[in-house]
Amino acid sequence: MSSGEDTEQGAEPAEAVSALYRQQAQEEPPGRVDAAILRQARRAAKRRPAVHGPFGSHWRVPVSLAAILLIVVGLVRFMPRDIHDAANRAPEAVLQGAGGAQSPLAREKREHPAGESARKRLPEAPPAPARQPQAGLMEAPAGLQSAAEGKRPEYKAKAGTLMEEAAATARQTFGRRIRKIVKGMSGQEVLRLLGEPDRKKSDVWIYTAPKGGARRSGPGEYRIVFRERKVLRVEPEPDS
Amino acid sequence: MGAERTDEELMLAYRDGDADAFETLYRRHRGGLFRYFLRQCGNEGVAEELYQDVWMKLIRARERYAVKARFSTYLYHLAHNRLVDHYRRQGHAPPAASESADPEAAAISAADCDGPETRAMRNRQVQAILAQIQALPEAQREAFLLKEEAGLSLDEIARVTGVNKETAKSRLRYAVQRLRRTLTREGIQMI
Repeated sequence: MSSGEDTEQGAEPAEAVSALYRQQAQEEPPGRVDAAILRQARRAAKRRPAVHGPFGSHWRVPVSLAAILLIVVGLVRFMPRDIHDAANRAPEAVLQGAGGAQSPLAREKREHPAGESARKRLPEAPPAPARQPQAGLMEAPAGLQSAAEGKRPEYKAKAGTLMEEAAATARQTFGRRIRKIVKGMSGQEVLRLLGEPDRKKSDVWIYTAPKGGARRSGPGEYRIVFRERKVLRVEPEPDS
Repeated sequence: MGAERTDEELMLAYRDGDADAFETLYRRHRGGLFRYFLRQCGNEGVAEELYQDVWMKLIRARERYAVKARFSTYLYHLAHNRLVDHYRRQGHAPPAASESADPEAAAISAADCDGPETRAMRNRQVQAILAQIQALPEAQREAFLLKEEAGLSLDEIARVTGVNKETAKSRLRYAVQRLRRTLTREGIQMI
């Protein structure tokens, strides 16, 4: 012991006892125990090299959550406006499409669609004139036009991918909303709220099984799974 | 090879997959940790089991290792916890005397070059000091062993045993005084 604190506890007697003890302290663990521990240590070292990036293991979960949050916020923020509106309208569209005459939300939406009521309140605007190239304006050079034409399929493909991603996000948003709405409801309550799905109008179809069986109402994107007459979960239709 | 690596460096190296670093670290601490358990339990079989458990725990926890204190403090903290756990399972019954620690063997290995008289005297000393250590109250014995076997400072002993520094200091002082008094009474010469 080399600590300076020795002096605090009466150095001489402590040192004397310490020296006497150290002379006697010779016992060591048996070789087989040493071998077992070292073997285990080597095996553990081989098994998985530790990965210690800039964020230690303590930060792994918070950093993952932050990254997920960033992605979600980014998606919502930069989602094309049409898709965003479609996502917001989706649950109500279901209620309408599913013939939900008893649903106040659906009834309100059907009777006063946002676009229509706004249009009624405002005077009719004259139809916008079709856009035509105006005489006198300089036209783009022919070479530039053909280059733009050549790139169009590429842009189309990119736009298509973006639209698909946005639609997937919209479906997820819709799924979350439906889950919230029907959580804990009985089969009858769900039917009362949503009504029987209308094959012609609704773009979202739902499985209903109020008595625990599986009754398919039509092809759709989501299904509501019941257990003991209560909504157990809402899940995406596997085929969709 | 330059300067000898510290315990903490070795443990970090082992954490990152260097098995040789562990072996060096193990060689440094094997004797002290084993004797810590042996003196505390007084039973070689139990001491072996607890000793092995602590190293296995250290191996399993290697990926979470970060240098927050001296490696010895970390190791003996694990050992203290394992011992407390052992006592709890046993209904807190620390043994009264050593059952199979072999003081004669220790004495012989310590002084195998001495003559028969010296060896006999040493043997008597060994038996006396081990008996007196065993007779110490558990907390005092632990403080003494943490100082002697692990080389911990008072602050570190306090941290390992979960008491304040003053308590650790008084435990150690009482342990040393008691050992000195009884050993002197038995005619063991202090160096």
